[in-house]
Amino acid sequence: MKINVEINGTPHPLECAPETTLMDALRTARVWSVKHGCESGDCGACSVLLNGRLTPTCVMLAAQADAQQIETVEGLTERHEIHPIQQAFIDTGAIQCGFCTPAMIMATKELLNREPAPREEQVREVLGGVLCRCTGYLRPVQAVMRAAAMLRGEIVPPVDPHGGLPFEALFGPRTPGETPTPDFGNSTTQVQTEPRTVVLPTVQLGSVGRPEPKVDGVKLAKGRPVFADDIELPGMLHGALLTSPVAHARIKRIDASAARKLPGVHAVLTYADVPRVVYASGGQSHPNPPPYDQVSLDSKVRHVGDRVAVVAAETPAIARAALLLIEVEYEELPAVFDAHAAMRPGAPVIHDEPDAVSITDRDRNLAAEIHARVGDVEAALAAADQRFERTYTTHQVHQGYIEPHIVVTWWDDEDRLVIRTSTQVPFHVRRMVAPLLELPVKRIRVIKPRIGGGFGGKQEMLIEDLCAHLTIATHRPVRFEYTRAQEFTSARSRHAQTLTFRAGVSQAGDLQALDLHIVEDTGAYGTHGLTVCSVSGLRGLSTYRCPALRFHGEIVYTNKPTAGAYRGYGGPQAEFALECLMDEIALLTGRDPVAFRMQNAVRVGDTIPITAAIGEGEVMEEGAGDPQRVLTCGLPECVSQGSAAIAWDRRTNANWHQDPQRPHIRRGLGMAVCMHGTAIPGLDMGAASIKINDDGSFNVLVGATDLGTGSDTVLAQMAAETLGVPTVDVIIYSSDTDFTPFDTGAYASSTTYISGMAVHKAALQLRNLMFDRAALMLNCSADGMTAHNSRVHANDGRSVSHAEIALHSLHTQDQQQLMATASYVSPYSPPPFGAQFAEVEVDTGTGQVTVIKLVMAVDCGVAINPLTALGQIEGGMVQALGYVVCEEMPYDELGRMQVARFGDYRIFSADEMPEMEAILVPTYEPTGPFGAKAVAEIPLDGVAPAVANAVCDAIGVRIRSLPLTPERVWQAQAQHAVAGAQPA
Amino acid sequence: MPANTFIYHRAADLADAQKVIQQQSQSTNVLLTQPRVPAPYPVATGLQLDLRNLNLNFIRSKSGLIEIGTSTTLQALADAPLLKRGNNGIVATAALHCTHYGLRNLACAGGAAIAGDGPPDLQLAWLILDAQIHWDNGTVSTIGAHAPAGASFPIQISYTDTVTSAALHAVRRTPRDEAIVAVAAALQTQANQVTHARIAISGVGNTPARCTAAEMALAGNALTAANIESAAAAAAATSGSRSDYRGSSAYRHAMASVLTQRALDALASNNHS
Ligand code: FES
Ligand code: FES
Repeated sequence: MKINVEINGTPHPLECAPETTLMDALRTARVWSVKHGCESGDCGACSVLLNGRLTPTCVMLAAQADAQQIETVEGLTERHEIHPIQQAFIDTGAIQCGFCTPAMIMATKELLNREPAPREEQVREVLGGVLCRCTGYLRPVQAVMRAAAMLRGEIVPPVDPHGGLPFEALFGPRTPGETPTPDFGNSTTQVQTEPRTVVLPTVQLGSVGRPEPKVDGVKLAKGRPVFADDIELPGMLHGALLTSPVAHARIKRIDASAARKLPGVHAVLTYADVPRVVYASGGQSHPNPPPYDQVSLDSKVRHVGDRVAVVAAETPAIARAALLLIEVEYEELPAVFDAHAAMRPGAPVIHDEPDAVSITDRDRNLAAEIHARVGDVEAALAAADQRFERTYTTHQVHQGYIEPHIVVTWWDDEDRLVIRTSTQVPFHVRRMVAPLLELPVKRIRVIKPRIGGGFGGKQEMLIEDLCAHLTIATHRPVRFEYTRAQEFTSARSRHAQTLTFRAGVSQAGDLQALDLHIVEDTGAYGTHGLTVCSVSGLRGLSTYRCPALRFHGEIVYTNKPTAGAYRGYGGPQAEFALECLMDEIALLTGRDPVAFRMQNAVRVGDTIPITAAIGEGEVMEEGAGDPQRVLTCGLPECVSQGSAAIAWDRRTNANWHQDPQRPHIRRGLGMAVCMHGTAIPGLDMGAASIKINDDGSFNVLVGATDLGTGSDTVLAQMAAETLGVPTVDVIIYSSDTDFTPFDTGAYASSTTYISGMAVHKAALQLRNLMFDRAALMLNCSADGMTAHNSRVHANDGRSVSHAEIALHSLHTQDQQQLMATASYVSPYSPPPFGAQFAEVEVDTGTGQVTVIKLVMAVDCGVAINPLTALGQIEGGMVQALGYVVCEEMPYDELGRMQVARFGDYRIFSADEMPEMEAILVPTYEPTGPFGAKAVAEIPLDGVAPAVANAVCDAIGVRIRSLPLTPERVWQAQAQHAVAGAQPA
Repeated sequence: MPANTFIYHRAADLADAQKVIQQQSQSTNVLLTQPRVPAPYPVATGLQLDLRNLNLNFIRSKSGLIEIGTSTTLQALADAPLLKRGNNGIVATAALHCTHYGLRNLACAGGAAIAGDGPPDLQLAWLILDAQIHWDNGTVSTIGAHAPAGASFPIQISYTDTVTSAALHAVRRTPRDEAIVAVAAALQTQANQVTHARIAISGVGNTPARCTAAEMALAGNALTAANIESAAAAAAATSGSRSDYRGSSAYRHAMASVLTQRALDALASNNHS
C-alpha cells in the first residue's frame, strides 16, 4: 500500500505492506535515526515526533501515520549545523553509545517546544519515554536544562569551568610524553586529591584531564547511519532464527522442505547443512579458555531458546513465516535448572556429545573447576578468635543494551567475506568464526561500526557464524538481528552464583582467613564461565589484607540460557558477598563497619597474594607467579568524600531512621568498598598506528572497540596530549580488521590502560620522528625538543609547525610518511578503588525498597576525560541498581523465561531515579598512561552490597539473596519476626 | 479473502467501521493501543481497523457525566485539568502510571479499558468510579466484563461526575513499574457514615476487580479503624491465585490487605481533616 507522510516538513510517499510498522517504513526510507531496540514499545529508541508528540513507531502501523507529520533528528539541522539541543547533549556528556540519543533529542524538542523553562520533574517525565542503559540519565537531564537555557537565549556557563582536571596542581609539572616507570622497590606513591569544591588552576596546555566532547558526539547527536544496521545493500536478505521451545531434547526429525518452498525463501539451514566444528563462543584471546562445547547448529538442544535452524528470505516477514513451516520433532530429555541439582548423581547429562573438548566432568555437568590457595586456610581458621560462615546467592541478569545483536554479512568484490557486526571483539570474531565457516582468516574482514551498548554481552562470537553461513549458502548479503525476546533467551547474561564465605577474625579485628566457595550456573554452554568464576575468586579475595586465602569454584551446566560476560565480570557477585560479609562481621563484633573495612583494606605497597594464585581462567602453583602490588590507592579519600556526600553520620541517629508521617517507612544507610582490576595482565594487548597529514593533523588507527564508553575520545586525547595538538586535530578510527591494528577488544576495563598506552607509545615514536624532521629543518639538534600548540619547539626557542613538518616530510626533502605503530601488553593490573554509599527507604508493610540516593567515589587514577569517567560511574551505578532491586531472569518449571521484554525485565527509567553523585578521587598510577587506571567496571561492584547493607540498617534484617524485590524483603522480615532477633 | 491476510482499513465513520467488520470472514483488530502492547508487534492478522476518522478523541463533562472518547491518549488523560480536579485526580494519576511518556502518547483510553493484562491502574480507577464502556452497537458494559453480544469496539468510557474521595495505592518493584498489587478505593461519607464504598484490587486475580466483601464492611457503617480493618481483612480473602516471579499468591493476598488498609486510612484521614 501507499501512504503519504510528511517527514521533517517534506512530503514523502512510502510504499509498504499493510503490516509494516512505522519504524520499519521509516528505516526503509533511510531515516536511520529511528532505532530498533524492541518490538513492544518499551524502550522508546524508535520514537519520533508524530504530530509534535513523542511516539514510539515500532508499535504502530505505517498506515496509521498516513497524512501525518513526522519529525526526526535528521530534520533538526542542515549537514554542517548543529542544533542547540544536539550541542547541549554533546557538551554535557549526555551521549555515550548514542543509540538512544536521537529519541532523547526529539523528546527534548517536544518538551522545549511547549515548555521553554521546564522543571527537572518535567524533563524526567519526558525522558522517561526513552530508555538509556548507558548514562544513568543525570547528564541527559542536564543537557535538556542546558538546551532550554540556550534556546531561551541565555549565556550558558562553560561545561569546564575549571579547565579540566588540575593535573599540574595535583601531580606537579608534566613532562609531555613522559611515562613514569613503576618502581616496585619504592612504592611511595601518595594519594593526591582535592576537595570537590576547591577551584584549582587551569591546565594551560594539553588534552588529558579535560572534559573534552566525545569525538563521535556530533554524528551520534545527528543520528547519522553509524550503527551496524544502518546500511542497505543491494539484494540483501533477512535472517531469522528458529529456537528451541523445550529445555533439553534431541532433534529426532527436522523437515525444512516446506519452508524452503515458500516463495522468497533463499536458504534454510539446520544441523545437517553446516559443518560441525566445536568451539567456545567467548570472545577471548587465543587459545580460548575451555570448554569447547558448541557447534553452529546441533542435533541436540540444551535450553529454551537454543538454536535450531536459520532462514534467509527476501523480507523479515517471509523469514518469520518460513520459521513456522519448519517441522521439528523433539525427543524430550529430562532437564535440570539448578546448578546444585545438576551436579548430583543421576542428573541429566547436558553435554553427552563425544566431540566436546575439555569439559571437566561431563557426568556431573561440571564445565570447569578452579582451586587456588594462599597459605593454610584451615589452620588459620582454627587459630582465629572468631569464625563466620555465610552463604549468599546472586542471580542471572541481562546486560540490557538497547541495540540488539545485529550482523550484516556479504561477499566483497574479491570474494572475501565481510562481517559488519555490533561486537566488542572484532579481531576475536574474525579468528573464531574462520574455522566454523571453513574459511581462512585472510578471507574474512570484520567491521565494527558504532555499537549501541554492549556491557560485555557483545564480548562473544554470538550470531556472526549464522549470518555468515546464510551468506555462504545464498551468495547474497544477509542481515540478521536478534529480537528483544531472543536477547533474553538466546544471548548472554550475568552468571548466577552461590557464594559461601568462611572467615576467621582475630580479637583485634584483623582478618586471618578467607575461604570462598562458588557454585556458578553457566547455563547450557561454558563460554565465559571459567574466567568469570576466576575473576569472582580474585575479586572476593583481593580487597582485604589476609594471610590465608582459599578459593574453590565450580562452573556448572544447567538447561538455562547461557551466561557470559557482563560488565564487572564476576566482580559484582563476589563483592556482594564479600561486602555483606564484612558488614555482618563488623556488626556481630561490635565494630563500626567502615572502620572495620579500613582496618583490613589493602593499601599502597601491599601485594595482592591471590593474584599470584589465580590467573585468567587458570590456576598457578602457589609461589609460581608474582602477585600484583598496589602502587596507588585512593580508598581512604573515597570513603571520606563518599561519607560526607551521603551524610553518613545520620546512621547513628535513631530518629532519622523513622518518618513520623509515614510510620511504615524505615530509612537506612549502607556502604561497600570496591576494588577492581585494570585489564588482564600479560594477556590483553592493544596496538595503534599514527600518521601525520599535510595540515599537521593525525590519523590514529586503533583496534580498540569503543562500545559507547568514550574510549575513542580518551585515546584521541592521549594522542593529542603526546603530540601537542588539540584533540580535534586527531582523527581516530576504530575498528576494522583490514585496516586497524590488532586489539583484544573492549573488555576487562582495558581500553584506556592498554590501548591508551599503545597509542601513547606510538605517539611518542612519531613525535621523535617529528623532532628529527624539525631538527633537519631548523638545522639544530633534536635534543630537548618539545611539542605543544601544534608546533615543535627547539631548545633555542625556534619552532616549526606540525603542518610545516608534514609538508616538508611528505613533499620537500628526504620524503617519507612520518608514522609509527606500537603495541602494548601490561604485566600490571593496577586496581581502581571505590567507596559506594546508598540511602534507602524500606516499606515495612510491602517490602518495597526505594533507593533514595547513591554516592560513589572512585579512584581511577587520572581521569583522562572526567566527563566520560563520571558518565561511566553514573551509568554503571544505575545498572547495578537494577541488579539489586528489580532486574532478574526468572524461569518457569519447564525452563521458559518469564521476562522477554524490557517492560517486564524492568530497566530504570529517567522518571524514577534516585539522586546520584559520582566523585573522582585522582591518584597517579605510575604504570598507566598519564596516570590512568580503569573506571568502566568498578561502578557495578558496590551498589548491591551497599543497598543490602542499607536495608539491614533500616529494618535490621539481613538478606543474602538478590534481588531485593518487595516479596523477598517482606518474607525476610516475616521470617526474622518469627525467628526472633537473629544476629544482623 | 485468503485466511490470515493482513488488511488495514481506516473507517470513514461509525457505519463504515461496522459494515467492514460485518463483511469480514477474519478476525478484526481495532487499533486501540493498549498500555502494554502485545509483542512482537504486530501480532494480529486479519482486519486492522483504524478509528482515527471517527473523532473519538475527547474528554468532556456532559450532563453530570465525564465522557472520555476511546481514542483519547493516556497522556491527554494525565494532562486533562478536568480529570486532575475530580475524584482526587485518580484517573489522571492512574493514566500516568500506566506506561512511559512516549507510549502514553499512543496508547488510548479504549485500549486501557479493554486490556486483558498490563498495568491495572486505569481499570482500577474506573472500577471504583463505576465507569461504563459504551460500545459501537450502543450497548454498555462495566470495566472488566466481556464485550456485550454484537459489540465490536468501545466508543467511550463514562462515569458520573460526583465528588468522591479516591485513593490508589500499589506495590511496585520500582516507582514506575507495573503494580504487583494495587488497590483503588473511593468513599462517600456523611457525618462519618460511609454512604458509598468502592474498593477494587488488581494483582490477586487475573484481572482487576471490585472486592464487594471489602466494600460491604464499610458501606452503611461508620468510617472507623475497626471497619477499615474488616475491609482490609476482606480484601486479603479476595479470590484469585495469580502468582509469578514478581509475587506469590500468598504475598499478593497479603498486599491486597495492606494496601486496602492504606487506601482507606488515607481516605479516612482526608475525611477527618
Ligand atoms: S524500538 Fe520501539 S519502543 Fe523499543
Ligand atoms: S547512550 Fe543511551 S543507550 Fe547508550
